[in-house]
Amino acid sequence: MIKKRIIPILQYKNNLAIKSKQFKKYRNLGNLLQYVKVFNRRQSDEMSIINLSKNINGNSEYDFDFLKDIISECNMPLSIGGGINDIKKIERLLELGCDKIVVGNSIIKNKDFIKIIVKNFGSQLIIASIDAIKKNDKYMIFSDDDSKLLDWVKEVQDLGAGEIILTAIHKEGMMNGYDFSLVDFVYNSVYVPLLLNGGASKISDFETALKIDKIYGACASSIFLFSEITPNLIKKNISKKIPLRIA
Amino acid sequence: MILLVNSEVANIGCWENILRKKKIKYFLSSDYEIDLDQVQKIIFPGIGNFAKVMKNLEKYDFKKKLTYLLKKNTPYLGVCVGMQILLDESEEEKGVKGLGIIKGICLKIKSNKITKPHNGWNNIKFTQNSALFDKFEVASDLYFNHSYYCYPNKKEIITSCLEDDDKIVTSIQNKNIYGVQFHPEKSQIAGNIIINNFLNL
Repeated sequence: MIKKRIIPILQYKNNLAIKSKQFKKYRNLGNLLQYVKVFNRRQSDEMSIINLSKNINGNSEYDFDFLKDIISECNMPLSIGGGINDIKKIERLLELGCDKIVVGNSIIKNKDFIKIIVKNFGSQLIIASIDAIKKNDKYMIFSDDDSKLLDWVKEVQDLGAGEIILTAIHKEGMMNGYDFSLVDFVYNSVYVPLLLNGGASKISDFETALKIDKIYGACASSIFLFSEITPNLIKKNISKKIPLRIA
Repeated sequence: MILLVNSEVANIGCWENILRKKKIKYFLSSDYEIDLDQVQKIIFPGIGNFAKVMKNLEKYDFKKKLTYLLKKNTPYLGVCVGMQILLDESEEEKGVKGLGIIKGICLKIKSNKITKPHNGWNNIKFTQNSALFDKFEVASDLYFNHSYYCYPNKKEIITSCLEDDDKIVTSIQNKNIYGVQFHPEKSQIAGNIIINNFLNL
């Protein structure tokens, strides 16, 4: 039986681990490698690393030598994202041992980019990152683009995304629970595996999320960085109710 | 020496890390000088579009080299698309020929019993014994990430299928040729057992 996944997300900038709140207010956490090692040991099912480093022109910058050491320590399925907008970067990341690619803004700006990835690597490589924000009780995409959230959710799948990671920006880093109304809002439009992100703060949040049939991964960051709760502990508590991988 | 096939679209770094940690010598198919007579085993890592992988193999004249090695009964482990390209063709890219070493085609997953793509940790069931699964606990989870699956003509080469849907072939063995649909390199302890079994053949 396919298992539901618990997925820690790590963000880094200029080779240091950081944590944001609502995609702003960054906090410095230090050595990224240490966190990767810790998550490796704690029964995570997959890990996602987001690179927020930028060069002086404001474009995303990848230090592949730095990532090489990080990736070689990661003995679980790994996705990497952050400003990936060309095939060369993807080839390089795969060459280092990365398994999946997270793309968000680059596919909003250039829809053909998803198709190009599919042609080269297949749909299963792509996790489409959709950042949603709640404004005046309405959900919309967190971007300059004016396309509607539901249209975009449908379109990324039609273009060939293998999975969607849906982040509620207003919840991100706030540790006050996932936004399940957002899940209700997009539910009928989703037909690929959905990964939910933003706000996880307690064990029951993971249980509630993973009980939803279309949600295959519960992602979290702050809870694993700033609390005693580990993927291992979550699994011990909810594995009787939800199919989970117990190694 | 292990020959690690570099299709340029696979997670080859994972395999390099694993072999390095095991202190096993390897070379890449993209290296300039390969002494084929030194090759004891071949590993073909997965990830990649069927047509793109076949196209990249032309660059290194690999088809000829592979045919030569397989005729010498060199053990071969194909992972995911590294197994799929052994077949005649794939629904992923119609009209593009695979290696045709194993007769059959690759089909798009249409099953309602699993996610599409089939991505995540899942279980297999054996259909017959294979040296690849020696000491492997059948309840162990294996990591999958694919949209297509192998449909070989000869059903007797199938060694396991997905527990949820026995139409989805998860491993094959034809003499010295082994293929797995899951990713042993990402399946932690359970995957390591399978890798060791192959390396110890």
